Amino acid sequence: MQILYVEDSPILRQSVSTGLKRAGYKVECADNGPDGLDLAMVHEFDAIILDVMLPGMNGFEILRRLREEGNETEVLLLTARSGIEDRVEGLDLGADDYLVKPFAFEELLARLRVLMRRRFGRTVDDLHLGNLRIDFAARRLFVVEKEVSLRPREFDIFEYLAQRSGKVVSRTQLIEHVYDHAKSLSSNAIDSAICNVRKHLTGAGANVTITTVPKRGYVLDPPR
Amino acid sequence: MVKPQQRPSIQRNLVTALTTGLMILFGLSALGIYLLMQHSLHTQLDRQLTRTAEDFIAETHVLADGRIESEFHNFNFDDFRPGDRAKGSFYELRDGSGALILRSRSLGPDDSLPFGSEGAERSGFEKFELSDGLKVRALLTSFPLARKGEETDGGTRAYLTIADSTSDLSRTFLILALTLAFTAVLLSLAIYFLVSRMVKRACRPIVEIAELTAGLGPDQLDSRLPCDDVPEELLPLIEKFNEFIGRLDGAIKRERRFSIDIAHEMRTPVAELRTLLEVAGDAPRDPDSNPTEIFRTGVGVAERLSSIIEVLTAIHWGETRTLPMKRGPVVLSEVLADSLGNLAAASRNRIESPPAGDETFGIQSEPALLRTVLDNLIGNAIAHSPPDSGIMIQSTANSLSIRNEAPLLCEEDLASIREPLWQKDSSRTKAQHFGLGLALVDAYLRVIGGTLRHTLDGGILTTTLELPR
Repeated sequence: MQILYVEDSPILRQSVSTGLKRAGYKVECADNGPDGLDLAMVHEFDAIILDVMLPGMNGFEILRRLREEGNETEVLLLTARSGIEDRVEGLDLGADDYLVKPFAFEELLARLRVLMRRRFGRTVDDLHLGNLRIDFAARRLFVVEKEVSLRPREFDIFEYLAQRSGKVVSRTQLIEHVYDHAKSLSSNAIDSAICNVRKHLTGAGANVTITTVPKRGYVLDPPR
Repeated sequence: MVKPQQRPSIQRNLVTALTTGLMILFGLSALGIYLLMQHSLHTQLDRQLTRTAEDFIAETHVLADGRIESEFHNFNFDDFRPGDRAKGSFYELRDGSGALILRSRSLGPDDSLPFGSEGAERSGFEKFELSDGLKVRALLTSFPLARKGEETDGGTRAYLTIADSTSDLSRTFLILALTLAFTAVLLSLAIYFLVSRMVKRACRPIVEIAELTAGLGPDQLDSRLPCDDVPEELLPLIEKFNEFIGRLDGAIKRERRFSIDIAHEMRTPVAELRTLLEVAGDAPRDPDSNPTEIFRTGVGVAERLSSIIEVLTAIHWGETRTLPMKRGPVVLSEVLADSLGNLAAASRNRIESPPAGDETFGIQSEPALLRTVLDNLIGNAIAHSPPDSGIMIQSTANSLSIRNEAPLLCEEDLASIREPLWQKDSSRTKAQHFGLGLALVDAYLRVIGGTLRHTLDGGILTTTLELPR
């Protein structure tokens, strides 16, 4: 899952992005309003964590412009402003959630999971596909209650495909949402990771398959 | 049971005072009328008695044989006949020795009228009672007797007493008194009713203002009481009240702004510290984590929090004048030199400070507080002006002027610039500046004395500090 975090406090930016990365999210950061808006407009994120009091342009203004442009990415406002009127203004502008500083990092992760579930139309953290059960909160995969051990990157790829099961996901989408822009990828990194996931699934007796769609990408087929 | 003390009421006091005043005025008027009427009727009665006495005397003569004859007595007027004594009149005529000569038939056998004597010890008008208790008013007089058709010889005198019953007069007085008293009671009620209505109407603006004031809640302090159609006497009160509300509104807004700012100033570092520690503690064996760096960052955040608290405490001490003081002679130029030396690295040769003529004269001040004041003023000029711009500082023995570029400031900012935690940048991104410097300067100047002024002209901010000599 790819997250944009716009925050002017360098310490908070560093800590939160580190924590999010450890939780399996791919994180892009911006330290001011205009840069945050540019990133949000150019790239497709699964969620945006937005500070309100930002230099250059405040979070409310960024949110307003995003919604005006038709961008419906889930937005979580993260701010020191705790007044009711601030919360109401943020939510009225189209924010999906509002978290006041200081916050427990676990709560931030939980709220992000809620946003992810809402984005993909789920109501719980567990997803059942055939004889598979995916626990997104714990980042664990089970085949008939037997755990399948995936590497973090492999789980990221599988999670992304599982969220969109039945739909073709392009190689570019996978790269953008699973890998950091900064890191260069070898041409077959995705293929290699997909291959490993297929092996794990087959080995565990899973009844779902990841199919390659020539020149388009991959699709996770649910059992018929 | 103790009766609660009644609260003073303007309306009640006015009604009481006006009603009492008007009732006293009316009472005095009624008394005046009564006395005037009494005097007038008595005078009228006395004139009547005098006329009767004159008629009697004119018709009374000494006969040749020495007897005294009165044609008046012979006329036998109705008033002097026996009958209704309450409406009757009476007379007695006595000779010089006091022997009774004539008396009216209206007098009973037991009645006796007093008479005057030579020397006029008893003469004039008198009140007395007849044998049956009938109250009469009498004229006691003496006169010289003369033969009919002749002038008096002045030798023989007679005593005449003419009296009239005062029953009618007393009744008239009683009716008058009762009428006046009854009128007084009715008028008092009418006065009370009218005065109450009038005072209530006159006090209506006060009640309306009280109702409007009672309706002013904490969220309506931006509204003001209307001054139109307000009575002249209440206008200064309303104007002062509106001014007070304005000041209160401003103070509450400043307080709210301060609360929001302090919340932000405290929330952000607390969030930084908490997240830093939570994320570090969540994966202690993460090869990418650097415990030393995390520790250093955490200490930095804690120091920033401490700094905010220390400055806020110092401001509180300054505002409550509870700062420890060591007042003594201070040379401003020396304190300025110390401050400039301390800030030399930060200023990077941007400050120009020519020496002043009378700079060696000392002033009475507190060196440590004054030094903090100068550090903050100069530090602000360095921090909030463009990095390549110059700063001009001029000083005299007891004043200091700092001129620096302030392209982001506008005239309206000068009103708020000294409020605690005010920052031009609403995002409050600069972690090293909290917006407490000028508030601290303000608080310290309350202790050591002195004034601080800011003027903005063409993007140049001039800060002028004047200290007492």
